[in-house]
Amino acid sequence: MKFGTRLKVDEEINSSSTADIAFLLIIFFMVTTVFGTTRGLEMTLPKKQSTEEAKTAEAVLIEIGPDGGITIDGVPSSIADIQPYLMPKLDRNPNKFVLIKSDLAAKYQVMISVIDELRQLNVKNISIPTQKEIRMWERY
Amino acid sequence: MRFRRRGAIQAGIPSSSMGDIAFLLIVFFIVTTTFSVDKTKVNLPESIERKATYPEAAIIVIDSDGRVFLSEGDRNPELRGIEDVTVFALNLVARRPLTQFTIKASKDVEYRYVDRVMEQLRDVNARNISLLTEQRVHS
Repeated sequence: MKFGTRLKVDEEINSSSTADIAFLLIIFFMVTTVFGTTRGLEMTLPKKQSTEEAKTAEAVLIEIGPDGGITIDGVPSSIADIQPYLMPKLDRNPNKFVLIKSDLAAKYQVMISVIDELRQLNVKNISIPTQKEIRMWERY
Repeated sequence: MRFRRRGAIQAGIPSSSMGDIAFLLIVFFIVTTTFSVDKTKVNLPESIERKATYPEAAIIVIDSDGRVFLSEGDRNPELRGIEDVTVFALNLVARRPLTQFTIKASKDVEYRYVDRVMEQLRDVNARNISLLTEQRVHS
């Protein structure tokens, strides 16, 4: 009597679906990851005790009005005028002080746009006096 | 003369290393992902110059209505009054004098709110501040 030979059983663990599982995990991570906006303009505030007085006579004064309009040293201008106005002054004196005074009713975006322009020019001394400081200056 | 028959070449693409590649990608994602604790929705102002902020900085959120939310950087910011910034910042600066503060203010908010926050930060000798912005493309 002749018995039929059994089929050989494969001894390996089937790993063909590992890649599918892994790619599913990747998709899960990609979908659930929330990229936070964590970039911005850095500022270092001066120490309270040793407030460095910006020499107002030599500083460039940029004022922001309540409607978002700006004046540079008293001349009505636009954001685009900041760089051409400051560039020759910074060439002569790279440590030039720039004072930014914003009206309290002005939009925050205008202030950021002005700081952004100054940062692009690598202005080292930007002074943004708070209302308390402005009141103190006006008193003297 | 009799030639030896060549063994049949398998036509399949070997996919045994696919799993390894995929797991490497997973490890990459796990290592590089940083979960942002701050989930407040604010229309940020736009700027061209941007630098990466310190990831564990304390967060001060000012929304378009001038409401202030505060967080030490470890959880989602909570609604507080604008005058609470002094005590909040003072606690942090007392513990770590070089604490970084991230101001995440709406671009539409009136500057008076940002000014008030900055004033309080200066009063407690906070030094390092980042103003969060979105990338502005050159026009």
